[in-house]
Amino acid sequence: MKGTYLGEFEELVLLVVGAHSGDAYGVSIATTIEDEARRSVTISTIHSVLYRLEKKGYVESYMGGATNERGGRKKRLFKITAEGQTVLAFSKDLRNRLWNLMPE
Amino acid sequence: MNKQEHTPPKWIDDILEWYCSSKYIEEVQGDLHEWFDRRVKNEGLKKARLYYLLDVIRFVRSYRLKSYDEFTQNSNNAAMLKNYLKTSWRALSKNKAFTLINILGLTIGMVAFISISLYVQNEYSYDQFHTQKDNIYRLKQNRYNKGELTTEWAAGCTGVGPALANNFPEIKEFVRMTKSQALVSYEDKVFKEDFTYYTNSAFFKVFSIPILKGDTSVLSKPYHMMISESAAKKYFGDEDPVGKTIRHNGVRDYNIGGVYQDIPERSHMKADMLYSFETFVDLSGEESRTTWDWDGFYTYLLLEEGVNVSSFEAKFPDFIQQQIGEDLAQYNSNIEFKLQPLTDIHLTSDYMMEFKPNGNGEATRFLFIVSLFIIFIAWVNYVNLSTAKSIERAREVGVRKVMGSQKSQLIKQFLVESALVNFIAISIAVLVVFITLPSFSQLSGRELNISFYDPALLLMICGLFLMGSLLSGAYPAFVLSGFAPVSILSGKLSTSTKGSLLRKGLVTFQFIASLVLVVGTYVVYSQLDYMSSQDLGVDIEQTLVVRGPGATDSLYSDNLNTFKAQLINQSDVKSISASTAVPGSQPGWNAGGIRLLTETEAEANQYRVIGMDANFINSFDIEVIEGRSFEEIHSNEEYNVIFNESAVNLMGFSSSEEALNKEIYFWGDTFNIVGVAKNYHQESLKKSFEPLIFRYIPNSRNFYSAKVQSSDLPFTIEKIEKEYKSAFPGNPFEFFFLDDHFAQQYKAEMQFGKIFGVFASLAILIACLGLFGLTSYMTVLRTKEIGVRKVLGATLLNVMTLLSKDFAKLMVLAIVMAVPVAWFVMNNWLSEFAYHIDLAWWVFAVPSLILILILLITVSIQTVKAGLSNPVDALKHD
Repeated sequence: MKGTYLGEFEELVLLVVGAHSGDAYGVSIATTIEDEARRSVTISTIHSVLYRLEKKGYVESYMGGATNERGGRKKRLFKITAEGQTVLAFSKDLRNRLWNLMPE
Repeated sequence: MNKQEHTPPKWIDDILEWYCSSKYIEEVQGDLHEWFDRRVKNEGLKKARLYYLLDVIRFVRSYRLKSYDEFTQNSNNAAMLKNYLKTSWRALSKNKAFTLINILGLTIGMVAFISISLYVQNEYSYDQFHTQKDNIYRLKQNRYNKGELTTEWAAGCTGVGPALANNFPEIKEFVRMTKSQALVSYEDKVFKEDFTYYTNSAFFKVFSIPILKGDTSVLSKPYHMMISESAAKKYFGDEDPVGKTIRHNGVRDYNIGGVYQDIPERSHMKADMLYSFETFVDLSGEESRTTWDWDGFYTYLLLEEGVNVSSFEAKFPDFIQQQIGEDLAQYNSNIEFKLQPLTDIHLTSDYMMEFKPNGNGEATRFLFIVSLFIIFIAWVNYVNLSTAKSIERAREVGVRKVMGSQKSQLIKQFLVESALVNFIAISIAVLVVFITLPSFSQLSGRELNISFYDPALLLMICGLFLMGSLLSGAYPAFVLSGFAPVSILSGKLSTSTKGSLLRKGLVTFQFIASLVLVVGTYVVYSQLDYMSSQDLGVDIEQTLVVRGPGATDSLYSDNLNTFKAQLINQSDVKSISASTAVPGSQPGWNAGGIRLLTETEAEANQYRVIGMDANFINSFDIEVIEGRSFEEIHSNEEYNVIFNESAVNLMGFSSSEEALNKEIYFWGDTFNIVGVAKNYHQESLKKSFEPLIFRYIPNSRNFYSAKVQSSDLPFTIEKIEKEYKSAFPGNPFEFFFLDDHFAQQYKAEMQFGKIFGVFASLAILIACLGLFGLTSYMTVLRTKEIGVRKVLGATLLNVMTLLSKDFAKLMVLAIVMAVPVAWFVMNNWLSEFAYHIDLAWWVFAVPSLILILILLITVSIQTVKAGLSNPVDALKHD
């Protein structure tokens, strides 16, 4: 896939969005990354990565309804798009092929 | 969901809400709050709060910022600000005279403050351009004779630099410089150069002076030199000076090895040409490298990083004892070295042989304090006028409060008003500073520049604006906003005693500050007047002094005699004399080891020596009180000397008479005292009389002083120049008038007086403005009372007394408080002068009276108007 470049952190965020199947938002993504990848992140970084991914068309977002949580403030929820799935698959495929080339 | 225990700090949320567009605020804030909770759990409240602030700052990304429209229209704050500005503008334009007084006062204060700050900043910026400035020190040398400090040298002995550098690893490099007054010529161009020095090649390693051409290594070869850019231009125009030779004092050719950028004006140092020190050694012998007896050599040390300066300095005394202790003991003398940080020299150093007159640190600090006073007086005006006006504004405040204004909104409103006034004032002030800067440069004697890209200046302007807005706005804002609406609207409000007490205190402060400044100015001018009207004991009027020729040949004495004979033939030249020094500066010839022939070496003393021909004493009208003056007829006159009274004392004679015909030992020869001259002021009245010895040296070559009496001075000067050129061809004709030269010594004081005078007038002007505003307001308030009093028969005088009484009391109080302050400060200043006026009662009384008069006139402009007004007008409205 020509012209698509996915940064390491972008890929990580995209994976997490995909894993959350539709209800991913800033904090949940950050929590997952901190817990799973054991690296500390800031919310603002997550937000800017999400917006970049949205611009590239790999995720789409919509405003969730008001809930009782967090003082009734709405969340922006993110969902992975078909194109996003393709990119992830492509990169996974690429890695697999390269792994296979590695001598035992 | 249960209520959260901790929430992020409100003020950080406010920042977020302030900048973040409403499109994003919910998601961003929501996420951040959740994240905050997580942090509280994991890392504790303190850390979470800190991170929250960082997060909020990190979220400032352009796409989440409010748009311009959102900022201006959808925000309540912005709308209110607009409203505040509008009402402030209305309030200000309603009372035009008041506003004008306010703005004028603030503007003048700010102009004074900014101008002085520019000057102070300039004074503190000397020698800051050296990259190694923190490790460069100059050696200051103190010479002691019989335990008494005799001379403090900026330029000490030649041997100390290398001796220290060879023995102390703390020293990285040393630079040695000594002056060469030189007549420099290249082809047909001849100039007398006053700022040329012999130095070693470390000069450019220590000081950050860029080399434009050539190589500094020439400074270790004899008869080689470096030349400054502007000197190169002067002699060589567009030619390349490197490799060319110039002629020094008409005798030696020096090879130019390189060109350096001119040393900045803001340096204590000035050197247009630098010759190699090896040249000096070749000219004056090997001992000029190492001797500790020869002064006049600047020594700069570049120390290693991290050397403790005071403990390094403490090692000097032992080292000196070890090196030359025996010699010192023999003459009962001592020598001491102190390290002067390079960047301190300009403001603290005033010793023998400075490169050029340095600045005065104390006067600079003092001036800065004065500027602070002025700006405070201006702020006080604003506070005073605003609180005085508060009664009028009280109704407005009451109505606003009833309509639902909160206290914080009222405070904001008044702060906005003061910010507006301050903004107008500072804008005008910056403009005025910009326009008046050339005149202020002239007044202060420094080339001052203003650059709006200078962060320090911008910071000062912003600071002045903010401080002014807050300081002058805070009091009125809090007082006015605190009024209870019911009491205002029911008309029960009266001026609070607290407010009027503060007002009185501030007015008294203004009076005190103005009075101290006026007394200061008066004392400075009285002292200057005293010094110029004092009998100097020497006649310096109508005297034209020509500098002696630098380049001469073996026929010099004959040429001099021809020159003198030609001049004295002129009807407009009354007398002409040659000497090594003239009144108005310290004689450069400082001779130690002089004693009575019968005394031991340890009893010898230092004297200043002036060499002169037989006409000098007569033509300067110096009184000889004992013995005789020099006369040409005596065959042995070269071995006769004349003492002044101080020298007579120093040598231990009980009277002038006793000194006559005594023999003294002077540098290996014996001299006979033939006369005693009355003490005269060789130098300014700052100094007491120094012991002087006159020696008969008829062909002295430093100065030729001609007493002239002419109705056409330019013509006389032209004639003298013609004779000079024909007697000493190849030498430039340079002359000055002795009274000007003498007055030069008071230049610093005159400048101080002028600056002081200008700022004292400004302070008084501001205080008057404030007082004018205050009385006009008080008068308006008491219109009815005055009306009633007039109806009941009060005269104009009664009304005026009534209105001025309060201020008069404050004035008296101010005088009582200001006199001790002024006495202390000015006594301190006067103590620098050996001859000074006494601080008599009238020194305080005259300025006080003048100030009282000015202030009363200011007050009376209003009170007379009130006193003359028709009471019917005042009373008919009720």
